[in-house]
Amino acid sequence: MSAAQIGAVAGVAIVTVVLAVLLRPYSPVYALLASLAGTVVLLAWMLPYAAQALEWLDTFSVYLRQEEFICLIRAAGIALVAQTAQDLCKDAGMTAMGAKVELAGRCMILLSALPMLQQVVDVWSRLLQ
Amino acid sequence: MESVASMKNGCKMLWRFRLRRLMAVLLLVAIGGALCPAVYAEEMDTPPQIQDYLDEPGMSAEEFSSVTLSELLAGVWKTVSGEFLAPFRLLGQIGALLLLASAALTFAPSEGWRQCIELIAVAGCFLLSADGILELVSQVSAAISDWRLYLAGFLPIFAGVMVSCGQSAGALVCTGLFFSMASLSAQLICGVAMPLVRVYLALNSAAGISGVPPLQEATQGLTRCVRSLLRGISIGFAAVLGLQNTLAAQSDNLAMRAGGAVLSSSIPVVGAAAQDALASVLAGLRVVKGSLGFAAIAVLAAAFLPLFARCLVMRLVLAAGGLLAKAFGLSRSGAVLEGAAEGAGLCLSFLVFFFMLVVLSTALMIATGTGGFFG
Repeated sequence: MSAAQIGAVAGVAIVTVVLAVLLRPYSPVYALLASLAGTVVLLAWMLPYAAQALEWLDTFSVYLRQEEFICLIRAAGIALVAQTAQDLCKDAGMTAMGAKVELAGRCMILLSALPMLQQVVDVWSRLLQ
Repeated sequence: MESVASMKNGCKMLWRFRLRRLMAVLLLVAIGGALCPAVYAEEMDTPPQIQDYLDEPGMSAEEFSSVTLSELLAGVWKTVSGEFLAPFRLLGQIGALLLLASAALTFAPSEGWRQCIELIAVAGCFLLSADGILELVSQVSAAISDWRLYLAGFLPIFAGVMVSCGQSAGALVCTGLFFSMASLSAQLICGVAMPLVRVYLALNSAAGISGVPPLQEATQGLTRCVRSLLRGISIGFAAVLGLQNTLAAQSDNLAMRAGGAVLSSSIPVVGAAAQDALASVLAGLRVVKGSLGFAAIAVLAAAFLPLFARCLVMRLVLAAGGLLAKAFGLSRSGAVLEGAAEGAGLCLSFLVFFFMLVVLSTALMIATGTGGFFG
């Protein structure tokens, strides 16, 4: 990633923030929509780079079981999406909604880790036999 | 009157004869009953574990003499690579997991999400190290049990050789005090210490996954308990070692000197020559005793060294994994891996302790009574 690309990211973020600040006194809904649009644009722009990083990390998955690799990547994805949604809710002043989004994200991460935790319990039973 | 008295005397004599005959028959029956097990001893089954040692010497003398240097080196390399490659493969797996976890954490900079992702990393680190450490604990327990069984077969033979060397008290101490201490230590290690190590490993992983401080304190307390147990057994062993030396050496030396004085003074003309001849015979028997003792030590060392290397490498690998985890900012994963390293270290401590118990006691028994017969 070059300096021009990170400059573009910063530029999009600043433009989105300025637009949201300008629109908020007149129409909070459009300010929120502008913030959401800027977030989606940045995420969509970042995804190819994240995919390249994931491809490189996939080369290390041969040393691990596929389950652990998938569980970690899935947890990271859930955390990213939930964090984004939580921040948008806080920007809109909906703190309670943001907390529920965080709770949902944590539950989904725990559910995706359940097979691993079950294996941990199995190992404990072998240790304590 | 005289005929009545003579008849009475005759009856008494007949009664006494019959009583003596009955006593002789009873004595013969008793001797026969005591010898019968000895007669059928060859038909009685020896314990299977001891029979395995007698039936499978591993390598015959002809086979050993025909082995070339390259074959020997290839065999050594095969053994070493088998011992060292698996732990380093484990280190690679742990490193890959930690790298993935730290990369995943970059997507979730918030502290709350970091805890969720680190939970998965901790569980993954524990699962990766669990198989290796479980196998290690089982192997150490099995090795100590096997060595105890080996001593059960070896010590009576060694005691017999010690008796032939004139060390009756030493043989008694060998089969009584030393074997009792070795058996007690083996049972304490296999029955108490190793289960405590397993509980420690489970508590350590639970503390890492949950992050609850009381569990971490309980884990540290359990480590102190296991170390105290090892310390107690070591003190007992040191006391037995001192008693062994005191009880065996002094009384045997005194008996040997007294016997020599009686021999040389009681037999005229050839008493001194008989004393010298017996001294030569006993010197030869002491060589046999020393060879037998060192052979036992060599057999145990051959079984001990690969397991010792495995424990040491596993401990180093897990400690390195813990340091790597802390370098990546995964402190809970680091704590779990360091706890697993501590478990491997405890296994190593018990293994070395039992090996040294057997080696030092055997060396002491070899060394006692070698100061010269009658001198």
